[in-house]
Amino acid sequence: MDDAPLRTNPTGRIAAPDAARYLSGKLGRPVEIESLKQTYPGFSRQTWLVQARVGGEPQGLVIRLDPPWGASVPTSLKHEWSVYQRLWGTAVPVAEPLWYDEGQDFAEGRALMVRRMVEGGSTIPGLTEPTAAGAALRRQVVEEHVGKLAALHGLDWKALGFGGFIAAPPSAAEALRFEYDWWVRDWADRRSEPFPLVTEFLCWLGEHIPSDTPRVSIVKGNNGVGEEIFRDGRLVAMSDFELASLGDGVLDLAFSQGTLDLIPYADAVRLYEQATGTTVSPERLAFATLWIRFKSLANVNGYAFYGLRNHGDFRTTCAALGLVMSKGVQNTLAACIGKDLLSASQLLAPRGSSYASLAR
Amino acid sequence: MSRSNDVQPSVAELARVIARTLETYVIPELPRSSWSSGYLHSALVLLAHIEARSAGERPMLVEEGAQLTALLSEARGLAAATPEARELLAEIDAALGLPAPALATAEAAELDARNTALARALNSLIVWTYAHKAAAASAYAPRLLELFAGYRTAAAARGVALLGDAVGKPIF
Repeated sequence: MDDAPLRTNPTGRIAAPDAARYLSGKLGRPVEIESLKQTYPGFSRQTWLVQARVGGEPQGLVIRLDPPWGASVPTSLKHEWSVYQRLWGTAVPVAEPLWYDEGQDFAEGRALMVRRMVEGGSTIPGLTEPTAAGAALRRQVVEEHVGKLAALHGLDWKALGFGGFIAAPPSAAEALRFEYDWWVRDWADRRSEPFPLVTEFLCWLGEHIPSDTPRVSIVKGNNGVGEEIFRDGRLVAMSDFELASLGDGVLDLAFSQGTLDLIPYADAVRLYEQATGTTVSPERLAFATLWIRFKSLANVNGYAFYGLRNHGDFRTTCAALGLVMSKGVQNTLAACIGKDLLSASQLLAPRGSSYASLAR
Repeated sequence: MSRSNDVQPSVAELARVIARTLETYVIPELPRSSWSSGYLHSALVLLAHIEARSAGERPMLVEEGAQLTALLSEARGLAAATPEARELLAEIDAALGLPAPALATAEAAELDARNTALARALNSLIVWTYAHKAAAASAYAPRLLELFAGYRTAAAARGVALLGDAVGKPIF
C-alpha cells in the first residue's frame, strides 16, 4: 500500500461558500445555501444535498461527485450522467439532470454532476413495522419497485442512445456471457491477490451460464430501498446509476439489496414476470444470485480496496469490505463449486446481494 | 492465542482492548447510520482481523506455501507429457523455481510474496484444467479437481481463521 499523498482536502468535503459561488455562476442568479449535507454512506461516490435560495426562491439541488481518491466503481461519473440524461422524460422516474462539469476549483477539479432534488427519502418510515399496515407498506414498496424495474427493462435502449456509451451484448442469448466475460477480465486486472478459490468458482460458473435471456435491457445495477427515492410509499426517482449496463434485467432482481425480500421472493419474481410479460427461468435467477455475490466482491475488492491500496482512500469501510469481507465471500462462492446451479444458489439467500448486506 | 515470544501485551491483546473500549464506551454514544458510527464499526472489524492475523498469520503462510508447492508439483508431474500444457508448465516451473524463504527466519512478507506467485500459477492451472478437462487433460483432470478441492477446504479454513471475530460484525 502506497503512502497517500497529502491533500489539502483529504475527505473531499465541499464548503458551502465555495458551492454557493459555483452554483451562482452556473445558474446566473445569486445562490444562498441554507444547508449542505453529505448523504450516508456514499460508498462509491459522494452525494451532497443542497437546500438553497436561488434568486430568493427555495430550491433543492444535489451535487454528485467523485471522492478525491476516485470512484469505487468501474464507471465514470460521465457514464452516470449520461444515464440520467437519457432516462429523464421516460417512464422511469429520475431526478432532473441539470449539468455535468469537470475542472472546477471548488471541487478540486473532480468530475461532478448536479441534479434537481426530488422530494422524498431513501429510507421509508414504517417499512419494518410488524403490523398489518407495515405488511401492506412492504407489499406496496415491492410492487412499486418491481414496476419501475420492469419499466426500465422495457425501455428501447437503442432509441434512447444507450448504445452510444455502454457496450451492448451481441444478442440477448449472449447477454449473461457478455457480462461474465467483462467482469472476469476486469477482476483479473484489479483483485488485490490471486484468490484461487474465486478463480475456480468462476471457471465452474462459466460452465453454467444461461442463454434464455428474453431481451437486452438497461440494467440498473445496485438498486432498491437505500438507493432510490421514495415518497409516501411510491418510488419517485431512481438514483445512483454507477453500475448501469446493458444486459439481462434478471441481474437487477438479484441486486435489490433485500427490497424484493420484503415479501416472499417468489411473489416478487411473479410480479416482475407479470409486469414485463417475460418469464424468469430458475436458472437465470440462480445464475444472477451467484453472479451478483461475485460482482459485489469484484467491486469492493477490485475498486474500493484498490482505491485504498493505490489512491489514498483511507476509509476503514473500504479496508473492512475489501480485505476482510472479501475472504468471507470467497469462501461462500467456493462452497458452490461442483454443485448444480440451482442447488448452489440455495446456499445464497436472495438477500445479501448489496455492498451493505455483504457486511452483515 | 498469542505467540509466547511476543512482546507483552501482544498486538492481539492490544487490538482486543481497543475494540472492547470502543464497543463499550463509544459506539453506544453514536447515532446509528451515521458517518462516525459506520467508520467505527468497520474499524472494529479491522481490529478483529488484526487480532486474528497477529496471532496466526505466520504459521498459516507457511502451511499455505507448503500446500501450494505440493499441489503444483504433483500437477506438474501429471501434465508433464501433455503438449497443450507447455506454457502452463513453464509458468508452474517459474513459480516453483523461486527461491524458497528460510522458514525459520523469513519475514511474513517474504512468505506471502512467494505464496502469491504460487497462487498465480495455481490460478493458471485451474483455468487450464477447466478448459482441457474433457480432452487433453481428461486422464488426470479428476485428480487435479481433487487437489483443487483439498486446497479449497484448507484455504477456506485459513480464511475463516484470519477473519477471527470479524465474522458477523456490521461494517456500515
